Amino acid sequence: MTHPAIPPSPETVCLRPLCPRNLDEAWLGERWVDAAVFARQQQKSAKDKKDKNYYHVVELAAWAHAPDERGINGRIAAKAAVEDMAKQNTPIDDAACLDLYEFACSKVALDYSETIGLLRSRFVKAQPKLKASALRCFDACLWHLDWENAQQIAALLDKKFSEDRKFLFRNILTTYLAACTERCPDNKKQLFLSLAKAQADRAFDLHAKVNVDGQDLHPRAVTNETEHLMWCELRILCAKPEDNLKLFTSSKSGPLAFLEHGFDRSYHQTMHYLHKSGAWAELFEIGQTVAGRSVAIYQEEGKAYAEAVRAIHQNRKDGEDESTTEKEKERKRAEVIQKSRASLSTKDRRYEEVCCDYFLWKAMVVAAKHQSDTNQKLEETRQLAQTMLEAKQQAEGKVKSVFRKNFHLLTLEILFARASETDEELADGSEQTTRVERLEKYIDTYYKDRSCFDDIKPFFSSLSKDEAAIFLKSLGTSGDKNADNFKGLMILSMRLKLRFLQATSASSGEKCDYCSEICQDTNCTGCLKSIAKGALDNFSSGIKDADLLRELQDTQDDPLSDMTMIGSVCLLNLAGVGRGCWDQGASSPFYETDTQYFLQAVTWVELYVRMIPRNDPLRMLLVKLYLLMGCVSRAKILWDSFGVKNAIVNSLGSLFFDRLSTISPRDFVNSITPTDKILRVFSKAIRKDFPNSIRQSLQYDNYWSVAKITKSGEDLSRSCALVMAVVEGRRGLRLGSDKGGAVIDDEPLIRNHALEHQLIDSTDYSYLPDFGGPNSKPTKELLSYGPPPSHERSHLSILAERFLDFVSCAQPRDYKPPKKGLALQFNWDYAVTTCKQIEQGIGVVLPAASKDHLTGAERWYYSVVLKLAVLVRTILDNAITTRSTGQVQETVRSIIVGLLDTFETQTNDLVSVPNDAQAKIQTVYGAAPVHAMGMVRESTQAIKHTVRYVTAAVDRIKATDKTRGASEAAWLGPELKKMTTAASDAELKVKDLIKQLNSKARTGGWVDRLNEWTFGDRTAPADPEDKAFRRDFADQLSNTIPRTDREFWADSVATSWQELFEGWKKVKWE
Amino acid sequence: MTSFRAFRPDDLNHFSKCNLDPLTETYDLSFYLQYFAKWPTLFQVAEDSRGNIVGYIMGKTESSPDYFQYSEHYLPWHAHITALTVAPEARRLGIGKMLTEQLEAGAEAANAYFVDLFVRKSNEKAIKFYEGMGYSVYRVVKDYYGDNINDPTAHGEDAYDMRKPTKRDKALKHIRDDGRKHEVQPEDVF
Repeated sequence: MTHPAIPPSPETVCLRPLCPRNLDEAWLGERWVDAAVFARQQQKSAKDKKDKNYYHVVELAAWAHAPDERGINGRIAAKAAVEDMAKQNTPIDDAACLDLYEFACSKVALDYSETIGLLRSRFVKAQPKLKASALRCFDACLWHLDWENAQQIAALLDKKFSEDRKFLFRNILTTYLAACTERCPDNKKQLFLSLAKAQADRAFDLHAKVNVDGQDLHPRAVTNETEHLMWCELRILCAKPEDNLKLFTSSKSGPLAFLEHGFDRSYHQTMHYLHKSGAWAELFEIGQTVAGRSVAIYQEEGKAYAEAVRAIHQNRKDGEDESTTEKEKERKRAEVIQKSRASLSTKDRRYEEVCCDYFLWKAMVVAAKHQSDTNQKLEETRQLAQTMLEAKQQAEGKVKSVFRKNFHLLTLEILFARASETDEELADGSEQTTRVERLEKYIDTYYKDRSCFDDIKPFFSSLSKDEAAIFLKSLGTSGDKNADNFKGLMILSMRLKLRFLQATSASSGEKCDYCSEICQDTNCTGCLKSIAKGALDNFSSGIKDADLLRELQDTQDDPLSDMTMIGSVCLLNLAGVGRGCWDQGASSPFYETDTQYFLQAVTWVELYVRMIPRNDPLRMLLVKLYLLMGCVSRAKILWDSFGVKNAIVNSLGSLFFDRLSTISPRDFVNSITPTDKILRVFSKAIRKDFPNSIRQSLQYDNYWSVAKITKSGEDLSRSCALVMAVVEGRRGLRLGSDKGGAVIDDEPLIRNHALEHQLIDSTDYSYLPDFGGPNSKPTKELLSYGPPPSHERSHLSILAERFLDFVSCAQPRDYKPPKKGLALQFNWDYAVTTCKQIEQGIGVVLPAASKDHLTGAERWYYSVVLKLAVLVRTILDNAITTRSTGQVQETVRSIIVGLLDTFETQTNDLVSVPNDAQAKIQTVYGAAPVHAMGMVRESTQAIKHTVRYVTAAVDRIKATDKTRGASEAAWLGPELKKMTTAASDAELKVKDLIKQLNSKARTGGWVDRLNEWTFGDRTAPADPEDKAFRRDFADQLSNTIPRTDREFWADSVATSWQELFEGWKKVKWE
Repeated sequence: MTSFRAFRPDDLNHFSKCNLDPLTETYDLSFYLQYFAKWPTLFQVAEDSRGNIVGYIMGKTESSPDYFQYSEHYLPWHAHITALTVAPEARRLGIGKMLTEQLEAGAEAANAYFVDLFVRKSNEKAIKFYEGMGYSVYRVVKDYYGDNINDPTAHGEDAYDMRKPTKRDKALKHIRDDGRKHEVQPEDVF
């Protein structure tokens, strides 16, 4: 997968120690003009040619960093010098000059591999004995991820200093990484991979050979784990699968051999390979051996432990230690275990560790399933695990819960993997099947674990309908009748989650597994109501239980939080949030939403988050709900408590910041936007931290880490969150002016992004609850303004920003090129090419993105930008660079008609948000389409800038050819006027809408109004049952939430809306 | 279902279960990468069935610099636990203990004399946890932490430097029975 190249941060260069003080001070003080002048003086006075040359390069580098035009010229000169040297094969005999050239070119776009990297490898080739300089060059290539030249240098170092084994492995590693780069041609790729593999194989063979002979290891043999890992990786990548299978199942180079050396990572790598390759018989056999060996180790430990415990008891009997209390005995037993474990060899520890890893057992179950005697193999696995657990118990006194839990999950896996006898058992009149019984037991043991639901979800889903019914009934009884209120509520919350899973598992028109009603959509509405009611019943009684509430203050396990979560998720589903609204008109998530259910969900969650404040998924749910209803300031307070920063902004930043600029301008009024912090993290990570850690890995000879770090850095450079941060920041800045900051092509993090680069969304949604069935909409989608970040949306946003940069770029007034006509021609050529690229880009991505990756408002916006790009390109190509024909004029007119048509639909759709159907709730509806409002503003800006650009282009024609200019202006002027008018009309409409919304938000009576919307009897559904449910539920919820809490909530919502619209009022439109 | 394995940089995208907890600090990316680059065997994670990281431990091996050699506070070659965290939902399962044991195995393999760590004096839960694993207080570092979570008016909070000997420390030279009585200043600590 390709990734954009992002240049690393420039490294500081110190001048050589003997350079004059004035020059050194100017250099260190970044007084670049002074430094350049001093360097020139030094150059003149130097007698030695080498010195002269050194100061010449110092001068060049200083000019390249000088301010204003001198800096621009300096950079151009530096780039030209470097490119020329690379092209002319000019020898460089001073490594310090190379550092200076690199520094001089750090602010210009340069193909490092083709220029400075190449010069560095040539330098090492010419002077291979200069080890320190060669290493400096190698390091510089690593910093720039120039694997091609790093490989050349590594090979030279390996050849010259063959006794130093680290150069061999650096050579292998860089050869492999050079083959993996995009620029490596296919024929060379294969060659490099084969070469790297051959070298690694040779090093591995030397290791194996020496091991057999019992001699000292050869200096060029694979020795430690990181070298083994690299060898395995190369084998997996380059060798034939059949050869690898043979190799990795052998006693010398398979997982067992690695464990014997204590190499757990190599063990995992090869086990995963066997798993992936489907070598089931071999995998099962290895698993058995590993487990058997671990059992033996535990049994040995157990004997020692039993012996020591006997001694402790013996001492007591003999009266040697009469005062020994139970606590003391416990301490002594712990000491015995510690001692016994401390004496274990690394190899034995590794055996124990891998045997406690669930991967091994799961792999054995999967392997068993693929064999003819599945049931027998499964039983063997179960027995082995049982023996292992018992041996572990004997050795350690008690088994850690994590392993006991893993073991119980394994037995469930095995039980459910066996050929089912369920139906027969039930047919025999049995109340329960073994499967149901075991699942009940599992819940009874692990009801406190938050992962319990996820653990049993796949098993529950494979129960028959009858089994599921029995199971749920039994859980209900167990929960209701439990003497322990906490445990009872936990079990009941589990039952409700499982019911939710059933209620959202059927397809539209199918019968619900639980109540047998026909499902509308993919939800069983009846069940959702009943689950919400059940959750509220339990919640209402729970919050009245003072003992329970006291207990909950100090624990993360919280049945009331679970009840709130499941109840509110049911209400959100009943409200129809997120159902089919993204690609619809007004792009309001509330367009088809039942506001009452939605607000009930919000109030319920708000109540509990305030009752027991802590960072948990419930709080994150509330963040998303407030964002959705436009209460951004309220959402921000909650979001800030999570402290999302530094290393986790890539995975979590989008949860809050995606589309924020189109929703809440208030957050972007300052010159520093909220996304600036995110960009700083990305910039430092990609441009400095990743290159630096590659160097660190090599300093510590961790070859395996290098490939992982490289891959991770590449992934970060194509992150959708990075694009989101850049684009949101620019849109945010435009809200306060008509400029989006620096030109996007000057942004080093994004300027090289092209359509062939596959962008990835690494957002981690796991913190949001997700109990739904396979057909239901995940919570992350329910709670968003639109589809999550994607490759398509990210590229569209970059292309649109490029277009805006292009049309808003004004030539400086003092720009007076010597050859005016030629410069103008170049300018038009560039403009046409740019427009074509943008047009083609959007034209390719938009049709693919429309349905699944954009909101309706975004789709219109990008359509408008596409049509504007077509318009500008057509005008430039056919009316600016050449005299327009009547046909061209018609074409332009028709493009403008199409453009204005799209824009009118976008605007009308926004203002046609239902504002009177249920007049009482118009502010909620009003708060919702703010995103659409933001996109309309973007469209108006794009149209206005385009009009200005075309007008300026016509003016330039007028300046060179007055008659033609006037004639083009005559037909184009009225067309452009239509565009300006349309933009101004839309602007007025949106401004009017903002005014209305702001005024409504500022009217009093919000406490009563929100109370009425949330708990009032405001619906008139045809179905009397539905009406009764609504009335009862609203009454019960309003009785559960104290009046003061409801008032506080209403006040905070109203304040948040007022702040939102106040922010919108400040948006600049000119 | 929990699996244990070595950390990979892309795990950072699955840290939410651990790092959204206010007790877990989220560092700069370079911090995690440094540990992965230099001491990959001492950076282990616990992963649930959905790929979420529900616990991790970061450690390093080091000794005091040479110029410290004749100081009474000189630290010989040892392993240090820099961070250990378990997601709230995965606590009480023994994941922290398992991760610590894995780091200790790495320390043994690196031929360290002991494993050490710093903990707030007020963090009784953690102290008890480490004591249960064979660690003991070696010394008290005065005002090591800049803030004091129990007393905002105080200058800072003391840290316990806790240690556990490895096989290499046969004479148990690097632990003390009365470590709580030995106080040192932050500048004495490397």
